[in-house]
Amino acid sequence: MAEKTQFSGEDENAGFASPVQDLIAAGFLILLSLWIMVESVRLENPGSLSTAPGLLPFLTAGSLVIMALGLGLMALKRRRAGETQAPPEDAPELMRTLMLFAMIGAYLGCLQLVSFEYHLQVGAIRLGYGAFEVLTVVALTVLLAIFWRQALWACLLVSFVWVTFLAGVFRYVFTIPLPGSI
Amino acid sequence: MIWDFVLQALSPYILLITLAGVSLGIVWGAMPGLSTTMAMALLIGLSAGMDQNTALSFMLGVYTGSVFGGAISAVMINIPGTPDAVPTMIEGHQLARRGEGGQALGMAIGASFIGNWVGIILLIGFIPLILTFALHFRSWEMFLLAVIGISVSGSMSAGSLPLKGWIAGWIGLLVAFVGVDSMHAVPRFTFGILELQDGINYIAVLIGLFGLAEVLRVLPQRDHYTIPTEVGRVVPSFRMLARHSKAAVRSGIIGTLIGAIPGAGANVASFLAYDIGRRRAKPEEKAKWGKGSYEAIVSAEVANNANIGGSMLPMLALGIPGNAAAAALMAALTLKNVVVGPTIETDHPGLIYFIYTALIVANLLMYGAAIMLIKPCVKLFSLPRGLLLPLIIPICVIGAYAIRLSMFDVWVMFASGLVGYVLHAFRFPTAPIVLGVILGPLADENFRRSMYLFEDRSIGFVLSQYVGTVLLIVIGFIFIEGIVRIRRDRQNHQEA
Repeated sequence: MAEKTQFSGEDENAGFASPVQDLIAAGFLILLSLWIMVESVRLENPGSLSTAPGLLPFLTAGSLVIMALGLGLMALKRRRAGETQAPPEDAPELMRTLMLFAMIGAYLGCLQLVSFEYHLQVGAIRLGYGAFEVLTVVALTVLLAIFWRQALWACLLVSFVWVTFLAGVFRYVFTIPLPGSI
Repeated sequence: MIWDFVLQALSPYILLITLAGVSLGIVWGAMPGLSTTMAMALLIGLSAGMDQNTALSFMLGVYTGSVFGGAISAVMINIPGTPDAVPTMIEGHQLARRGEGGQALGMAIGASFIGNWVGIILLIGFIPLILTFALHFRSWEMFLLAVIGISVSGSMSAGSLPLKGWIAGWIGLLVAFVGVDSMHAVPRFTFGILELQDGINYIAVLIGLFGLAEVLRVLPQRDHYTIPTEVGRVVPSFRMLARHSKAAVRSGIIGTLIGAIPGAGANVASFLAYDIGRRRAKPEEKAKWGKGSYEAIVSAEVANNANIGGSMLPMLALGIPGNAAAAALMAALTLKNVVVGPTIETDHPGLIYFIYTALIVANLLMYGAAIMLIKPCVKLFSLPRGLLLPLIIPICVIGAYAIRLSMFDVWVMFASGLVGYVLHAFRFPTAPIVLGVILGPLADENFRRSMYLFEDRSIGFVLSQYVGTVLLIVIGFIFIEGIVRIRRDRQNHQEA
């Protein structure tokens, strides 16, 4: 008997989600595409229709509507056929993920708002330690304390060594300024 | 002139940087959950401070090292460091449990070395051919080529449901349209935000999708992996490799060809070579597959490493990256104002020879560094994810910031991370988005230019552009094949 082959895509996770998830995705994509189509038509057009700045965005969003409709229809058929679950995968830790996301957001917000830098003269070398280093050490210590779950001093030590090393490499080896540096 | 570029790649400083890239790549690839693309995306920031040739050598080193690195954790702790190391894990870990871990890793090193050589040789052999052909492409053909790249990437990324791959690619295209348009300088979808006028930087998108999204997905999980036992002596035996030379050559060709298809990367290559290898194996060898077969390790490792050369073929010749890791390499080149594509030989004379040499150097260094780094890597496995993954967050931030020294790009990276997480939860592939964002400007500019040329012309005239018509047929074929595949899979699913 000939062996049956199953084509495996590059992304193993990609494929059918639960019908409800696919319906939500289809609905969102249709709304997004329709909005882009309207915005594309409203774009200023200094030339002819064939060179209009909104032409390709309009066509792309239009074809995305068709694809999203296809996804939605398939999801409806699967739902009618009684399919409710997506193939099993690791259950996401939603609360922990949301917490992590909020913490990274808060850290970036601080980086956006806070800007300072202290300098230390060691011989001919001027060493800087700025907002990026301080804020990242704090943020990283908190993250490590939550997810690594070790003593606070250990988290602080790891954060301090890692951030100082990273900042040093970028500042002094590759001379790339860091966020929050004046 | 060629020798100048060859010698540059062999200068002590560049050799040292390449070795650093290879070593970083091996360690990164060996860490479970940290993929090749993630390594490439995050280290673009580091390469931003280097000159063109140094950055290129560094990134090629990271690419070469990280593809091999995945085999270390696959064999030793039964967790693939990178997704393409799954076949190596199936076979290698069985061998490790029998106390042949060192030999299995030695075989993986040898196979990776050979795989890289096959990829490099085919790359050098085919590039002049494709470049000669590609120089005849005009705007219409370039637009269609970009559409093919995104569509194929979608098809290859989402095996059972290409529709989701295409949707992801199209989302990428829409992201690429943001900013001032190149023809009339009209701001598109900028909503008065000054930073959006320059468009959305695809390196920030890449770092978000492959770096931060992975941290968001993996860090909150509570499971831990086991600490490995002793490695044993790592022996890359060429005598044993020679016994599987037929499988090596076959897998090398498969890996390179798969790499040349946009969107199909090392994962597809290693699985396909593993599957074909099993079918072609002699009965006594076939009986060992799944229980610890050296030939299986050779098949998978040669293929995923040959994929590197393959993925660079369309990138260098056409400006279309063969996979997400090649897209990251292309991004690093763009930072250095190197525009790859049909005119690479005229725009950057000699660069292509430098790339060949750098690839060869990276491969040679990978062989040595792999043997040296296996034991330290195994020690690193004892580091829990709760420690490792938070350390990646500042790299994501610096990587995104370093592109244009703008906090806006950091926010783009953050948003892309969230989008990547949501897309993963809804089972959309993310690689086609990157291809869409990269190829969007190329598609837009060439589409409008060709529309301008075709204005007041008949459909017959458009179809008389023969290369373009062939490419149109190819696009039709890609979509029809995808739709047939969706239907067949649905049918199989219902029958099951």
